[in-house]
Amino acid sequence: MTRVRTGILLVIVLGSCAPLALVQDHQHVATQAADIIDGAKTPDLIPDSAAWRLWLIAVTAEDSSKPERATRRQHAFLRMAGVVEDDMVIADFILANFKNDYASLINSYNNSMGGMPAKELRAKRDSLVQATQTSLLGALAPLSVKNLRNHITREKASMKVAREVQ
Amino acid sequence: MRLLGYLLQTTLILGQLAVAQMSPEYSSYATFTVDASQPQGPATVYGTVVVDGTTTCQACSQYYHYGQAYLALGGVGGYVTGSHVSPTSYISVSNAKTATVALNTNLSVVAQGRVWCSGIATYLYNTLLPFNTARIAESDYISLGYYPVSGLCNWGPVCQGSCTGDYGFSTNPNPSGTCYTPPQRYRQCLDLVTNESCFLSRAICFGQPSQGICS
Repeated sequence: MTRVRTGILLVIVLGSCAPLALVQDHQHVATQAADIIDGAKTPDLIPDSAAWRLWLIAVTAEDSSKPERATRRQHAFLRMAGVVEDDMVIADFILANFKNDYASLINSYNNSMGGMPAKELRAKRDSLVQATQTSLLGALAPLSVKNLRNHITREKASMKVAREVQ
Repeated sequence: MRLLGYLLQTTLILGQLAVAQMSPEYSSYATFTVDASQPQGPATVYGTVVVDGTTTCQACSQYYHYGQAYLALGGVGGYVTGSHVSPTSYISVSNAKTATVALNTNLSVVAQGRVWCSGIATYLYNTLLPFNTARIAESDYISLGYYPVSGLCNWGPVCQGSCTGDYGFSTNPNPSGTCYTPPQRYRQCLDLVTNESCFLSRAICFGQPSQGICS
């Protein structure tokens, strides 16, 4: 019992000296289940901004093996979301802008090599998603808007979203 | 002696560690739909998997992360792998796949998002998304004039295993006052069913001369 206590004490003492070590490694802690909101279980806990972001990324993704189907693919996802045929052209335009702006934002952040704080990235990212959401909901027909809102709420069941540090 | 050995071992282990606070924040999503613009014959199913997020970390600059989105439809597919980037870089990887599937045939689905970390030589984030199968199933049919209620289109019976939520509901006719495309007398719909549960009701609809429900 005494040895165990001594061992615990040594670990505490040596642990406090660890930052002085010459050879450094880092401790990673894999994402724990508690850090993830599972939309299949608690969809209400998934923020709308995260749900819209993931949906926007998914609906604008292209199958690189079938580039000729890019528009048909996007329209198929929009139809599933209840967007009516007359709204397809304006939706395409707004989604194309989102795709470009999102890629640019990520590139800017990654190329800044720490120059842009993560908090600022999150704010800009969420602002872009909000602006895209506002554009879509403002430009589409009322039936499309109603259907799209309901669709993205339902889609939360297929999402697993990190609880982000603010 | 045993205590001395324990002390040395502990020193070596701790001597190689520096405390690094790291918070991985990744999200993932999978979704599917069907191409309703080609209603006859085998259906085209589109699927997408997304992994998106970043890690906040200090003292991590010598390591790298990369994201992977995995999607296989009917056993065909694989990973889309992002670039090796700094652990604090933002990762957004998507994998879009296309498959054709015959009516009432189950298509196996595997969807996964994960992020590799060279610092621990394993996946920092690894999650399977909740899809196992996808199927195009016969569903409602519609027939104005056969089951009229207040001039609305009335949906007929639902096939076993399909979406059942809309059964018995009525919808407005199209602007020409019909519920189908003349000269067809019926409008048949198909559902997208995933994991044997309704995913998308009336995903594909088309007119036809006779009632073809639940073949």
